[in-house]
Formats: sequence, C-alpha cells, structure tokens
Amino acid sequence: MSLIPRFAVVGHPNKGKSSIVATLALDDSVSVARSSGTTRHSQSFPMKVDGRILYELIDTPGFQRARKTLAWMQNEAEKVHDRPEVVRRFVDHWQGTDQFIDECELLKPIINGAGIIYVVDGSRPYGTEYEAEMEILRWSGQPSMALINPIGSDEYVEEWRAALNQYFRITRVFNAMTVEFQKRIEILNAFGQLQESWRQPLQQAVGCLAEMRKNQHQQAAAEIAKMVTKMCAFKLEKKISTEAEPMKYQSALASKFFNKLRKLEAKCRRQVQALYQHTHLHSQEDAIELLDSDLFKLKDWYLWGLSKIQLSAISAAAGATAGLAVDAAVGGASLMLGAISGGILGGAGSWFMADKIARKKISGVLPLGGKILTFGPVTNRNFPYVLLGRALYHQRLVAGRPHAQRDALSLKQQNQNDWLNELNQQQRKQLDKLCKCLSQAEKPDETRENLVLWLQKTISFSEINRP
Amino acid sequence: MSRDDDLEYSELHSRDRSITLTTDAPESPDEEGQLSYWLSKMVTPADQQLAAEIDSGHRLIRIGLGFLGALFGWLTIIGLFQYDGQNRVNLVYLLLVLVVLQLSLTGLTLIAMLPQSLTRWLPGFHSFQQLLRWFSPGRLQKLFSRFMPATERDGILQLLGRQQKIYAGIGKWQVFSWSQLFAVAFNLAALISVFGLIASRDIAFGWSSTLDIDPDAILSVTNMLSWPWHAWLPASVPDLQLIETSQYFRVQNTAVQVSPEVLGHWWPFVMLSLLFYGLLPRLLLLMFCKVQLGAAYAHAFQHFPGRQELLTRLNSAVIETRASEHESNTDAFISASDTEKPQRISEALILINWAGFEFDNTKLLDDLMSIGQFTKKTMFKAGINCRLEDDEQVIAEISKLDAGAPIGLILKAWEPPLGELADFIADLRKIGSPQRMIYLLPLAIKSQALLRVENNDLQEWQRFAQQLADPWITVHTIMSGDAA
Repeated sequence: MSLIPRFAVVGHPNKGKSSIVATLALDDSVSVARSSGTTRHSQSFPMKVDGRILYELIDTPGFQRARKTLAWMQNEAEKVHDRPEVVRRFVDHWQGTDQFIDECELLKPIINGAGIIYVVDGSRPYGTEYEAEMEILRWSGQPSMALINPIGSDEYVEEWRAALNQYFRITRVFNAMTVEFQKRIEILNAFGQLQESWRQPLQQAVGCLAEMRKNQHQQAAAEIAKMVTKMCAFKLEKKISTEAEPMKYQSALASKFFNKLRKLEAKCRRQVQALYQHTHLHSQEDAIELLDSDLFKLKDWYLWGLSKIQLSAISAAAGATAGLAVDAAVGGASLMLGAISGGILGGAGSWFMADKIARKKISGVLPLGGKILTFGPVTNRNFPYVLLGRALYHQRLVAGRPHAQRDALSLKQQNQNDWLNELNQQQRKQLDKLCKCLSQAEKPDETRENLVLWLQKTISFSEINRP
Repeated sequence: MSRDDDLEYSELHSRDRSITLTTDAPESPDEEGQLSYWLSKMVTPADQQLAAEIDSGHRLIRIGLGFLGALFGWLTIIGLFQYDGQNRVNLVYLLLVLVVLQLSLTGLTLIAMLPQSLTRWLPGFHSFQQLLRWFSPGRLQKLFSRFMPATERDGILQLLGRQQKIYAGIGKWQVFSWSQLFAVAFNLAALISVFGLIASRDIAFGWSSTLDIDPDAILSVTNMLSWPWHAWLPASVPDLQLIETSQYFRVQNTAVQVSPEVLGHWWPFVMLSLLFYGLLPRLLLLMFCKVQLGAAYAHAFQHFPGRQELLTRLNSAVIETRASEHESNTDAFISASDTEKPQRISEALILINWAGFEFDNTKLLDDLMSIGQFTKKTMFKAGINCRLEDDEQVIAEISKLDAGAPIGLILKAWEPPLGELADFIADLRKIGSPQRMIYLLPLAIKSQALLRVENNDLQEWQRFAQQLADPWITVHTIMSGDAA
C-alpha cells in the first residue's frame, strides 16, 4: 500500500474524468474535450506543499474493452480472493502489447495502490455496459467511490445513484463545470474517508488549500488596490515649446492615456487570473469609460522642469547665499542686508525673466522652458467606483470559476451598480470615504493600504455569501 | 521590489518561499530578521555596486559640507574679529552673530523639524514651517540629480518618486543631518579660529552702542548667558567692573582709560558662549538627526509597500496542484453534417442491435426504417447486454448470408464509440466482401420514441468512422428530429 494517497480517476470514455481532475487540481491546461479518447495516457497531478506530496490525482484513459477484460479475468480467476492478483496479472500480461492499452494504463495505478474515483455522467441514462467496468474495479479490491458528474443536466442522477450504490460505498454528485471551492474541499475530504491512513494527509491538504484560497483573496485585494490607486492618480505629461500649438497634441495624448489605463487594468486582470491559477483564460468585456470629458490641461515650465515659483525661490536662495558671503566679508557690519537684498534681487529677477529664459535654448538645442500639456488624472467621483466594480466582478468570476471550464469569461455586466447594493452599510460608508480619497488623490499610500483591507474584507464576505 | 512588478505571483511565491526554506535561513526569526535575510539573498552585484556608489556619494557630500562649514566659520570669525590694534572688537557684534543669530537659526531648524502632526495644531506654525521648506536645500534634489551619474540618479529617483511618502522621513532627516554637520563644522572652525586669534594676537574686547544701555543691563545679559558654566568656571563670568571698563565711545576723549590686558579678559566668556550656544546645540541636533535618520530607515523598512505581501509569500507554503506536463490533443475538429439529407439505402440491411435497445414495440422499428429510409433483411443482437460468445455467433451467422449485403449497426448515440465496437467491425470486415457497406446508425431513444441526435454526439460518431479509415463505413444520419 502506497504511503501517499493516490486516486485514479477512472470510468467510461468522455464522461468528464479530465474535467473533474482539472477542477480538483485547479489546472486549466488539462485537455478537456467533448470528444472521447482525449486522454491516452495516465497523467499525475500531485498536490505538493513546499515540494512535499500530500496526495496525487491520476487522470486515466477510459475503458475501451471492459467486457473482454472481464472475460479474460473471469477465465483466469479460480477463487474470489484471487481477484486482485488476477487484475495485476492482467496488467502484467498485456502491458507493452498492442492490446488492452487503455485498460493497462488505467489499471496500473490501481494495482499500485491508488484509490478509485469512478466517474459517470448523470445527464445520460444508466446502461448495463457499465457493469463490466464496475466489476473489474471491484475485483481490484481497492477503496473506491463514485462521482456522478452531471454534464449539462441532472436528469439521470437518481438512476445512477441507485446503480452505483451497489458497487461503491460512497457516491457523490460533483459537477466539475459549476462546482464551488467549498464543494471541491468537501470532495477531497470524502477521498480521505476511503482509507483510514489517507484521512490525515487529506485533511492537511484541505487545510493548505483553504489557506491558499485565503492568500489568493489577499493577494487579489492587493493587486486590485494597486491598480485602482494607480489608475486614479494616473496622468500624462508632454513638454512642448512655447511656439507649438497645444491642441495638435491633444488627441495623441488622450489616446496614449486611454491605452495606458487599459493596459493597467489588463495587467491587473492577468495577475488576478494567475493568482487563481487561470492562465489560459480569455475574456470578453466592454472598454472602460473615463467619465471626465475635460482631462486636458496646459501649464508653463522653466529651467529643469521647475515652475515659476520654484525657480524664483531657488534664485532668491542663491541671491541670499551670495549676500551672506558679502555680510561675512564685511564682518557682519551690513547687518544681514547683503543676504536680504541678494535674496530679493535673485527672486524678483528670475520671476520677471522666467518667460525670457523659457524661450532660450542651451547651445541652441536644449530648451530652457516651454509648456507642459497634461492629460488626467480622472477626478470624477464615480471613477473609483467604476474601477472597483469592474475589478471585483472580474475577481469574483475568476475565483468561482472551475478550472474545467473552457469557454471565454464574459465580463459584460447588466447592471454595473449591483455590487454596491450587496454591500452592508459599514462597507458602503468605508468605500465612500476611500473613493473620495482616490478621486482627490489624497494620501495615496495610506489610501491604498486601507483599500487593501477593505477589499480583503469584501472579497471574503462575497465568498461566504456567494449565491 | 520594483523588479518584481512584472513577475507572476506563483513565480514570486516560489522564489521567496524557497529563501525561507533554505537550510541556512535563521530559525524562527522575527519579521525584521526574516526580511533582512530575504534582502541579503535578493541583493545582486549591481545593487551592491549601486549601494557602494551611493555610500561614496554620501561621504563626498559629508566631506564637502564639513569643509564648507569650516571655511564659513573661519571667514565669519576673521570678519568679526577685524582688529587693527586700535579699535576694539565689539562684543555686541560678536554676541549678535555668534549667540543671537545662531540661536535664532537653531530655533528655526527646530521649528522646521517639528512633525506636521504637531504643527497642524499650533497656530501659524504650519504656514511658517511651509515657508521654511522653501529654503530647504532638499528642494534642490531635482536640480542636483541632473548632474548625477545616470545609474545613481535612476535608482534614487525611482525610490523617491515611487515611494515618496515612505522615504520622505529619510529624506527629511538626511537633509537635516547634513545641515547640522555643516553647522557643527562652522562652529568648530569658529571656536578654533577664535582660540587661534586670541592665542596669536592681543585682542581688546569692548562694547559700544548708540542706545543708552546701562552696564547693569549688560551684566544681567552676561550673567544670563553665563548661567550654564558659572558654577564651575566663575572666573569666566564678566563682572560689573569689567563691563564698565570695557565700554567705549566713538568720541575718543570720552573713552575710559583702562589697562589693555583687562580688555582681554572677555575671551573665556566669548569662547564659552560660542561653545554653549553654537557648537553644543548643533552637536546635540546632529546626534538627534542621526537617531531620527536611523528611525526613519527602520520605519521605511517596516512600512515599505508590499511588505505584508512579501511576508505572506515568505511564510505561506507553496502549493502546487497542477501536472508538470500536459497531454496535447491534436485531433482534427470534425464538423457535423446533420443537416445533410441522407440518401435512401437501396438494399435491405442486415441490422445488428449493438446498443441493446428493446424493439419489442414494432412501431419503433418501423419508424426507424421509415425515417432512416432503409429496410430490414434480418436483425441480430450483439454488444451491450450480450456475451462475447454471442458476438462471435452473430459474425458466424452473417458469414452465411449474402457477402455483399449491407450491414446497419444500431448504436446508442449518446455513448462514445469504444474499442470493442471497433474490434467487432474489424471482425465483420473479415467476412464477406471488403466493399460491403457498413452503416453506423447512432440513435437517441427515450421511452420507446426516437429523438433527434445531438450534434456533439453525431460528431463523435463521424470522428470514429473517419478513424476507421474505411471508405465503406459511414454514419447514416437518422433525421429523427422530424419524428420526435
């Protein structure tokens, strides 16, 4: 008996074995197809915690010749207690030949100690042809349970349950396409019930997965907060010469601004998807709206990007320093008049000369001043709400999406304000305060930290109250 | 950490967790210890070089400021002690510059140092502090950064630009430390210069003012200023007689004739004033700034963005559930042609009920033949619900019939084609003509009624037929939707 719990997911072809494995192993790269025979070789999905394997799922090909296999075994077995040995002999006998390839592949992990997870489709009627498969599995003598995977509908679930109960001690319904995280955890716990020695590692695995889920939510909150804070404060600047026509640059700047915002949102989406281990996900959604129509501003700049006031202050300080030297040289007899007058002269001179400086160029190439065009930031009070609403909706769909699903993720919301109505009074009050800070770009670091905490609470709340 | 921005969480988590799990990692360290260890593992040679360059830059700034401070201190003393051997050094000047001005500047420095959380509640202080900030040398950082080497500039500006709030404390106390260093150098040089001048020249101190100041008033000022040292150096505290004899007037004939050595008795008072009101406060402030700078670094280390996320990554186990390799599925997509109208099958079919359907109701079979546009020659049962021997028997029976008679295999449309069926078809091919048509008839039957076969199921059967690579085997679509 192997020490690490191993579970072979077996059954008829095309009954969702790979879907179940994809969902339980949180792996969206498993080949899941409507056509049968997609899986040709057994594939292992070890659950590792810091490199240590706690359990292993094995996706197997479906039975292709169950009647013939059983007939061979029946022919070989003389007594009931011979049966597990006969199953082993079957694999030994046919392995490496061109016959019973699928049966050998699927029985191999079982004879090596793996528990059996038998999968059937609850949307299709029960048939007697399944009995040969179930009988072979019973012959193996390994602990087993059955999962009814209702692909599409649950019309025949009860019919299946009645049949499966005759062969398996535990039968559960598990829809790999719609199942929630909590149900996945429950199934893993059920796996642990198959054998006493498997219970502890499975419980440990379940604890680790719950912890991982919590971390995923926390990291998602941090990513969303980072993105929202950045997008709310984002602005673009372009320096142009005093003679250039500013309006000429407006549309290019606007388009660059919009693209950058879109990229920031897309980057956050990717990070959140990667957090929840959805690396092959495609999504469809509407582009974000900026809400503010007037994001274009124009101001002057002088030497090294300094404003007129900054330039004057620096010149005043320089003048004062020079004056101070004069004061020192005359032994303080000037009563600091040198410093005061130097400061006034320097400051006033640069204030009045700033515009002239702006038109000059060092060596005729490097401009000493000009105009700055700015686009953004979006200061509309609703902008943070829109960003958060979109991000939370995406996070919620991604977090709840089983890894067996292969269709594109639709992010088109009917009513974008639904999420606000789901918040309780306290959450709403905190959100309003945070959004005010975000739209006014107040204390960005502090706001971000508070937003992370708010998002963590909201995401956990949403997980518990998921409809 | 800015380098990590483009990395995925799983990569970061694996990397950081592996640092926690390294054998030489400290056992059960506190958060700071853990972060320091992480940092030591993450530092690249380029980072070390940048840090070394920043360190040498800091050293250069400190040396430069020390030198400048000392130079200004020396120049100031030279200016203040202008003494041609006839006119006395006016103590009023000395006290104004070395005590009053110095204390005022120290006061301004203290106001500038006050935390904003405090000045917000003191009327006028906040605005005054803002005004002082305009004269802070820290404001010139942008200007100076233009002249720095690109690598240092980028490194520093990245830190200051991205995490301005976190590093604001460091910036503030760094600038204060430097300015206090300048002031200490100034005062130290001034003190040494005063001592040098006193030692090398015979300086006559005196005091003079246009204002009508009583020597008693001067005495109360000197007593007040001497308070810190009067107990242990009473000789250095000027007495009324010295003050009276030191007063001089512009008009020569009104001057009191005194012995020149008496006028030199002021020097201990001057030096101690410079020491207690110039050097010592600045030294204390320098030490205070250093402590604050250290605290600001510790604060930044404790509050840098992403710290909590990093600690989570360091302390949470890396959980992997995915397969290391994935099977590729390269099957070609087969489009279903269920809309194609099936051709009438001219000859009667040998039907084999492989699906195990119950055809007790003759109406169902009649419907099937009517919709499928075929007739039945004979019908056998094989496959589902039969033994392998039954399958062999059916093959034997068919071998006795017309070798070219087409065969129709009745199948469960919703169940996938299995290897066993492929084997049976291969056995059928071994008997009769190789050009005998074999029709696959996938049916959807529920409660003895024919239903339309689902598109996906039909595709599955068409794919199966294609994989058999036999031109005489085809899926015969039953347009059952019409009958349902």
